[in-house]
Amino acid sequence: MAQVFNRRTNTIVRLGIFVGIPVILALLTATWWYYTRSDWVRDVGVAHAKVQPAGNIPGAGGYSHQLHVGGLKLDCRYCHTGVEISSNANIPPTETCMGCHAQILPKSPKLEYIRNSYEKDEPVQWNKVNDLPKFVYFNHSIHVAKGVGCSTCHGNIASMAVVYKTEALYMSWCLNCHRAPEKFLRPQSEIFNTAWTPPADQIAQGLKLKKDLNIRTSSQLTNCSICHR
Amino acid sequence: MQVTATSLRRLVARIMVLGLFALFFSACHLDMYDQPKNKALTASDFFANGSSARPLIDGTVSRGGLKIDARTTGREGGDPTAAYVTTNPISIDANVLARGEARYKIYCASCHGEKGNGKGPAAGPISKGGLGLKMPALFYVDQLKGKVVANESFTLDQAPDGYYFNAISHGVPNLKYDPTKPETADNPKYTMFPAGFRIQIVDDRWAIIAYIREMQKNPPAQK
Repeated sequence: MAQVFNRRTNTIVRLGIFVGIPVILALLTATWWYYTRSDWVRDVGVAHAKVQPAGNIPGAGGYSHQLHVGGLKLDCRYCHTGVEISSNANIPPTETCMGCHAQILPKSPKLEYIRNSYEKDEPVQWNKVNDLPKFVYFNHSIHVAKGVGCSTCHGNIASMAVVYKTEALYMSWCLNCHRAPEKFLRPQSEIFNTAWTPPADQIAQGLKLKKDLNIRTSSQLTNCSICHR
Repeated sequence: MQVTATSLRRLVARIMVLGLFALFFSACHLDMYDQPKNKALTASDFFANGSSARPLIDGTVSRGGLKIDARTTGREGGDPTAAYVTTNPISIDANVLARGEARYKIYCASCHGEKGNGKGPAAGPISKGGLGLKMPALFYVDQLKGKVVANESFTLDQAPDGYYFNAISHGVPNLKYDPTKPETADNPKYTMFPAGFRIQIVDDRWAIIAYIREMQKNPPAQK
């Protein structure tokens, strides 16, 4: 009976053991790292910015926070009205845009999509920038009430012509703050200041805020059901 | 077909490669990340307009919002044809005024100005990078004198609290609006759009009015 494996097979097996398996392990590790740690896979950074709104007429440009917030000094809450009273900050309805743009640039082709939306009563389609998994129950109102400012998670929105993700929103990142909120807390007057930077004595200030705002202990804040239901 | 050693080897190799791929794909399951349910602002491919949120049916009342009285309408007894209320229906203290000031700065100041002079950053002249809106100088009653209020018997300096409330809640309707034509820039429905759907807490609107009244008593110095 002929041999099933010929002599060359020895080399293949050796190669497999000493090269193939390490390469596969390295690939698996790299893949695991890529899918659990990388910013790139979570679309972080200006390179991933998408023009808003999503449904806008091609070539018409897009909504700029830099212009409206940085330039015209609109407060975040002018449009994101739900942020203090609801889990969702909310995207404004077309009426909010038209409140000004019925009179400001009323015939600009850049705003045709918005006018169409208003006249035909069709919702404006936006790109979702920060999309949490469905098993995470994030609540904006509790965070802004307890000293977490917008820019801690969203970055300096006032400087962004097109909004992009500044954090990858991995659970480990959430826990950074839930384990030690004093590193990130800011006074109530600075919550909506998008350019806020922590003072030199942030930890001391943060610990005082933590006490004053009656923030729960880190063992309570890291309870699973704080975020997962 | 005859099974030879070569074809057997190829089959084994193929199965191994496929198995390797399966190993990679098994790490990327997203079924719990994207569950078949809608949360707020989720897009929907079920409804024609792509929104999972449904528009409110006419006459929808929010929970706790059914009460119709002077506080929720700005008119005496809540009657839509009655006169505007002349006094603020909420009790005013330092906290309410502080709340009113904060809300004024969010929702009003971008046009009416932090000093209430009608010169907020969004309203200024186009030559100065503004957008050329004409805004009433809310805090300076003498500048409001003689300003006609459409469809009302009073001028703007005499406007009662209830008028302010209705302007905030329902906008200032454009009397020249022609409902038979489409609502366009040439045929606007409002000269001032309602802000009430943004200032959702009714008492916040009254707090803003209380703050404006306080500032009218003692307006900030104009530079």
